[in-house]
Amino acid sequence: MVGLAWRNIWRQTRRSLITISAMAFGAAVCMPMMAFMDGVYATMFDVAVTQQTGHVRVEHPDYPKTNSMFDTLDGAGDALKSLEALPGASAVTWRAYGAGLLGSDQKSTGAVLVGVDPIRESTVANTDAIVKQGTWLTEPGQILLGHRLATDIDAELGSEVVIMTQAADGSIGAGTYTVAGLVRSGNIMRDTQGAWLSLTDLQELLYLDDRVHELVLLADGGRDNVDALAAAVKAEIGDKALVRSWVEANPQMAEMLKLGQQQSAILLLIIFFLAGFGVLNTMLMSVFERTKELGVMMALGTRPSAVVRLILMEGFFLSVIGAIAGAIMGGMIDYWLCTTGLTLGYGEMEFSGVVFPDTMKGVFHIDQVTSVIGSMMVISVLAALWPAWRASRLQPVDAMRST
Amino acid sequence: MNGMQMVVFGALAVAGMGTPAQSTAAEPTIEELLDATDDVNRGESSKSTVTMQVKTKRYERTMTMNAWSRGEQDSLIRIVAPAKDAGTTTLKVGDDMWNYIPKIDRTMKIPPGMMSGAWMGSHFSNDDLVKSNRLADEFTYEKESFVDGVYTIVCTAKPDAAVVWGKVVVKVREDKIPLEVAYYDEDGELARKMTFSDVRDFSGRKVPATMVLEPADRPGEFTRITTTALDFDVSFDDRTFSLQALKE
Repeated sequence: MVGLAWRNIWRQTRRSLITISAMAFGAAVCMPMMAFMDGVYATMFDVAVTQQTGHVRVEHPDYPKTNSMFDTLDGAGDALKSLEALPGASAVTWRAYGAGLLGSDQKSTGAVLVGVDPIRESTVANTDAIVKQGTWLTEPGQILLGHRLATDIDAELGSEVVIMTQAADGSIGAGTYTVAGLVRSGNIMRDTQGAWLSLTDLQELLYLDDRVHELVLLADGGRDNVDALAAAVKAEIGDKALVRSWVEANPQMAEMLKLGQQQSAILLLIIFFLAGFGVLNTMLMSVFERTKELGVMMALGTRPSAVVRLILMEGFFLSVIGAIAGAIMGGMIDYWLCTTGLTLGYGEMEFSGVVFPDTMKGVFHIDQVTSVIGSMMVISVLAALWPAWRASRLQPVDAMRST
Repeated sequence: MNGMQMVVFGALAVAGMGTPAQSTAAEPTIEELLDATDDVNRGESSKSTVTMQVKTKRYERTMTMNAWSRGEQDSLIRIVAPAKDAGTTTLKVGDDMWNYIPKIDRTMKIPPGMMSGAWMGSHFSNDDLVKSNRLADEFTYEKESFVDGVYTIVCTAKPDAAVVWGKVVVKVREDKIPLEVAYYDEDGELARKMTFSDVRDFSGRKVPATMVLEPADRPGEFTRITTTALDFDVSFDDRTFSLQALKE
């Protein structure tokens, strides 16, 4: 019967090919679009989550409101150790923040100082990727500057810059640092005002002793396990500090990512329609044309259930060919999108504080293929159900009489 | 805001160009009173020593500073104590400002965007030191009352004036010694209040030696500046207010 079904779909070669190519085209468009969107959201996630909130963030309860240097976490050292031991945490880091005057006697500007633990930070954020020139922090006395800030104050790799600030004890904190790298973080505020230095350097500059402003964790297994990790961190920390998941810490970003998922869902819906109506139409026509033939088959003893299986199989073959063709075409476009990338030619674009490069690259996930191909095949078989059911209900005598 | 300049830079000829004799001669005009409250240091040179006590929710500290000023354009302020900050020096020439930090032996120019930031951890901003707006120029003013020898003058910002305050209420004695200046924001809320007291004689002039600035939104916090020594008509060479002089 498999052979019969296979032969049947090629009896109307042109019609079958049109249906197949409609499905293939749909899949070939949807897959790269999903990859592109995942690329956009990966960029945003990188900026908002790995560089800032983490999956879960622990801070002084007042810090989100005040952003005050004095609202530090108590007992961060012990907290760091216990959080690292949590089974759900894949990486933990800590950071301190400050503000100060950064530059030279010629040019200076207000800067946001980000104190990071160079080694731990690399386990949470993609530190190598954000360093546009030079290297990530390797030793004390080094500083990384947002690339726009560096341009503003005429600093380059190897330059010495001065930071002057108000230390926590009210005295004047000051230090000189060597520019080890320029950062393109994708966060426009940080690229314009940010300066990264080692946590211990910043603590020394601000007379913060060993105090920090936040502990940031990534969840083992990614986004799906965030809530579980947040609950575990809350249980560990208690009421001593504010524990928030990235969704709570950055609701706008969470909203955007949700919007992106909805857009992907709409794309899938389009695929459903393409595949569903294509198969439905083809199979209805095919059943209608073959009324006489099906009547003969049933008169010769083919059972209605076998007729249903035959028609369903035909629909399934159509979708399989469409899916394979679509996956091959889509895969080729994906390859180009994820390696070369789409150059828009408008230069860098800023969208809600995130800077996107001119050449956007897609991010490939096997989910993109399986969801598109899978939904296409399922819907094709479902769409063939009605024609199949109709075919099985034919009365052999009437059917054979039809022309 | 030149009350700051008056005290820190020492040129506190608050009694006006006048000697005590002049100040009792005729009833002063409101403009004269405002000018006296502003800064009467233009054209004057001075050298002074002040202590600045800063009290905030987080810390309390006292610094001793030497200040030199020439007119309202140029000034140099050097911290002499505590040891941790000693040698830290601020140079102001016209509208520009630099800080020199001895522990790293570096000079930094304060960029325009940071001029509203706190100066040396006090409740004064860098702008307070640099700006030389005059009340009588930027505000429309009227006498509200004259009670017991004290004028209360309400100054309202002119629509096009480049000032951050909506209203300033000045209390000044008839001998042109200011008592209090209250600053209100554009919504009419009290933003900060400066009070003058402890009128003393420096080089033959009567000057309020103590000035306290209190921000209205941070109760309990204040910056108090007390003048301990003040000499007028000191002569300087051009090098005094130069980047080279910053480091000395």
